[in-house]
Amino acid sequence: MSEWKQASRLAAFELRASMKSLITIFIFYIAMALIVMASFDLYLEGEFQFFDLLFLVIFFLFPAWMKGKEFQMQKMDGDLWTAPSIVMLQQLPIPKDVIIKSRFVVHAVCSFPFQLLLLISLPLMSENFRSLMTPVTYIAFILIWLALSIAVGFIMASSEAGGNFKTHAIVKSFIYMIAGIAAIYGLIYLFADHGIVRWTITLATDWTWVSVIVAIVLSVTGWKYWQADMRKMIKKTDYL
Amino acid sequence: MPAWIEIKDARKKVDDFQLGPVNLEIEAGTITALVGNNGSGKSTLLKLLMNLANMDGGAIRILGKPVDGGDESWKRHITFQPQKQVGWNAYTGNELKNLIAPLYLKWDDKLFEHITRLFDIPLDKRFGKLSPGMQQKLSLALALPRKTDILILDEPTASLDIPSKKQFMDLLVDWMEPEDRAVVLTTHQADDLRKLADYLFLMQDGQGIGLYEKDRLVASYRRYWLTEMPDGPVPGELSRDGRLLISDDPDATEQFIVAQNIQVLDDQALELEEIISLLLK
Amino acid sequence: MLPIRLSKDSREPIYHQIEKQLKALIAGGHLAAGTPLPSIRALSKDLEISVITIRRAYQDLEAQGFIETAHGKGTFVKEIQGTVKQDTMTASVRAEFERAIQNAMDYDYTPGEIKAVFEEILEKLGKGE
Repeated sequence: MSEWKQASRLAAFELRASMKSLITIFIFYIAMALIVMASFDLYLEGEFQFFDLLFLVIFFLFPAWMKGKEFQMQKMDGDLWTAPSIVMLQQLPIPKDVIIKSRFVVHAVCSFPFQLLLLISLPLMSENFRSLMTPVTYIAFILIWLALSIAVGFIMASSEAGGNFKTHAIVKSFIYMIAGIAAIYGLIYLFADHGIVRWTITLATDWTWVSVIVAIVLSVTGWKYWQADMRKMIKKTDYL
Repeated sequence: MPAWIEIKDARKKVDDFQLGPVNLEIEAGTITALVGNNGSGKSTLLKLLMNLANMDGGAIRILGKPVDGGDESWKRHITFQPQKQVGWNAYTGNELKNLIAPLYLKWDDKLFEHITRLFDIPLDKRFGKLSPGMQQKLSLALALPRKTDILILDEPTASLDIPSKKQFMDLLVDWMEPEDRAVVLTTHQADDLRKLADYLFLMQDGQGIGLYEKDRLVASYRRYWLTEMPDGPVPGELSRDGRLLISDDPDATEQFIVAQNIQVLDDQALELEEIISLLLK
Repeated sequence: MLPIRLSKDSREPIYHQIEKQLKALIAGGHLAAGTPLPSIRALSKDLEISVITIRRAYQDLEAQGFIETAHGKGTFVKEIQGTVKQDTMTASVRAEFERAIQNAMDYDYTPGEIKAVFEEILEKLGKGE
């Protein structure tokens, strides 16, 4: 537990130093979110196909963008890509596990409050949504998305470890990633009747308890997995 | 007592640059300067010391502990000041102090204040907004008060002006007063070597050329003006130019010259920089 | 700071030069008993000599009873015996003469010529008093 305490202390320094950008982005985030939410009703009526994409971007990518430029992953000397904090903290007497946990605390602070805000505002924005949900299924719905936030979103925290990459390899993998997301997105639209958000609503209403259990398992595993992954990457990377 | 830093056959390949195998031991009470051209591998070696990169082979121990082992406690006993501070830009001097000081048991706040006043460091400005010289001063102000057993400084004087360089030397000499500490530094400044270094570790193209005690190194080179230059090779001869001879074995050279009945018109020690240039040729 | 002047061009080992000059300062009364000496590190910086050399000189001087190290307090000049004082001065003066005479002999001076030079210098310096 004291490792988390130490990690929180380090995270607090970083968050305080990036307070300005945090607030700026937060305001921008709320504005964007409101615009997207306004179309939630349309989406549930099957009219607005791009809602999914916008929702996913806001939900997963914004937390990473909230961090100040100084604290984001970037190209360092040679072929090293990493977040500067990772290098800085490794030069101080801080155990690697604490460094990793501090990344997770920072990411959690940047993501959970805003994601929760987003999820909580959904019923306020949509008549259709309110009619679909009971309090219990709504909680299941929130848990599903928080689980996704951990299982998918925390790849951002973990990837801050960085690595030794050639620039063309980064570009290539970036192109593959975009292509992959586009392919998955396209497939869902070709073969499924509904978008991703609509699916999670169905999961929460029709398989409530299964969803809750899977969400909890996913959260715990994701939380542990990404930390272990980051430990491995830090060990592997040459911070030269 | 084991060496404070023990580098054994440490190797690392970075793209097409091969560092090592390097062997080096650092004892308490000494200042060792790593000397070599740019790109000779000094900074890479220091980063291996801090376990910032994985060795391809060999071992590095700090205070007896392998740096790449699971036990990371050795980091509390070592201060590393890199050439360029990474990740400091967004923080002010005060924030950095609050972040760093509690990590070290022996943090000396008085010394921190003394250095900040001496160098007139603005502590409320972000590190990234300071001039290179001021950044270096703040780095020092945040390094020396940690009072760790080992201090690693990568080009600590590169951006300092002449008065600050002198103040830095005085600070470091004071810092070394307890004789159980060790400093490893890299520098291109001859003055740092003359006034601070006890040992020189020469590096070239990633290889360690040798560890030399400074005074012994200086004593082992000599320049002679002779009445006549012998035709054949002279023992210890490094180079000749007319009747001027440079030797890296004065005893052997002088014995030979006396035996040949040649007179020495004048003789002189070599400057440290000259010797280094000869060794790195 | 001590008035020590090292000749880096001399073949005489540096530690030996330091020892000799410190002894002369002590025996000549310039450094009284109890005077603190600079720390090894500080002297190393001032003279631009490694601590290894300074330490060797200090150790020799301590072994010969000229200085003493109080742990944690520093190094101090010791009270020296009258005979040691005398011996040191004699040794120092003799060494200088030896060097000068050796130098003259290197230039093929005869003993008579050396004596003449000696008398002449003595005469000149003696008048200055």
